[in-house]
Amino acid sequence: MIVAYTELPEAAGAWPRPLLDVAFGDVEDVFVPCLVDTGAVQTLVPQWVASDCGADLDHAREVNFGVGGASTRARLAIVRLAAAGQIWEAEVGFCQPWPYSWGLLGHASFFRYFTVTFRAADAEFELVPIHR
Amino acid sequence: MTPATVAGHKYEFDAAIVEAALNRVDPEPIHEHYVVVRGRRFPPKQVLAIMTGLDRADFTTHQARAILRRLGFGVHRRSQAAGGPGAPSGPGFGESGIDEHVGRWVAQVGAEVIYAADNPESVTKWLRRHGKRARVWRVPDSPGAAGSALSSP
Repeated sequence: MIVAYTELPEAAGAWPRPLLDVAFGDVEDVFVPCLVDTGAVQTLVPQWVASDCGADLDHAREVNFGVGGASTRARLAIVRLAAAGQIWEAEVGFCQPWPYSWGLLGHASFFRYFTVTFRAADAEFELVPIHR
Repeated sequence: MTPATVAGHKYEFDAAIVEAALNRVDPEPIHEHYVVVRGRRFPPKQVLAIMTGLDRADFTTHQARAILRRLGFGVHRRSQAAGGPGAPSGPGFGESGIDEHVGRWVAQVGAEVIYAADNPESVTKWLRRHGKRARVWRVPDSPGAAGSALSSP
């Protein structure tokens, strides 16, 4: 699957980003754009996503992460993710506060399931699922 | 005031009154045509129905568009370039008017913003009420919100 980079408003610097729309939990009508972030280990999203998809955070492990030069508290839970025609289960950190307009897709919960090729010159990236 | 006759009834419309009347009204999903009122997109028939109290079957989209245009509102046809649910936005994104929504939470289908609100809960609630699927995010209002420490040259 080839995905075009998302262009941003001038106020945000305008440079397009590799964002992938991801559905969390059993939700099929709300897609959360997430940055395909080769520098991230964890997959992190803002906490409102947990409320929306019904993720159970009552007994979630809590971890502090540094994101965007600030600290955030993540509550980690295993949830279903759906994107690029694939469905998988993985650990996601639901964070509060959250500085970005999108989530982050990291190596532990995303890149291990896809081969990703970035073509910045063409403002697109390609996802090929890894089947093992 | 702008006079108009709709379904045999005579009305005097005023743009400021229309804007005020729509302040607390949620836009319904856009099918083809829309009118922009204070940065929000409404189906023209929704607006004229509110302004007149008439049933939408009593007038046409063409009539509604014509009256709203005479009142000075921007009346447009939905872009044919809009993608499907969850479709990523790409080049041409600027045509969606995304800059109008900087700092707000939006529901976006392809390149098109179909709803905007001040929090994600309002957006997801609107999507479910209207049976729509969309990308939900807060349009970044700064390089920081876009995860970049780079400053503009």
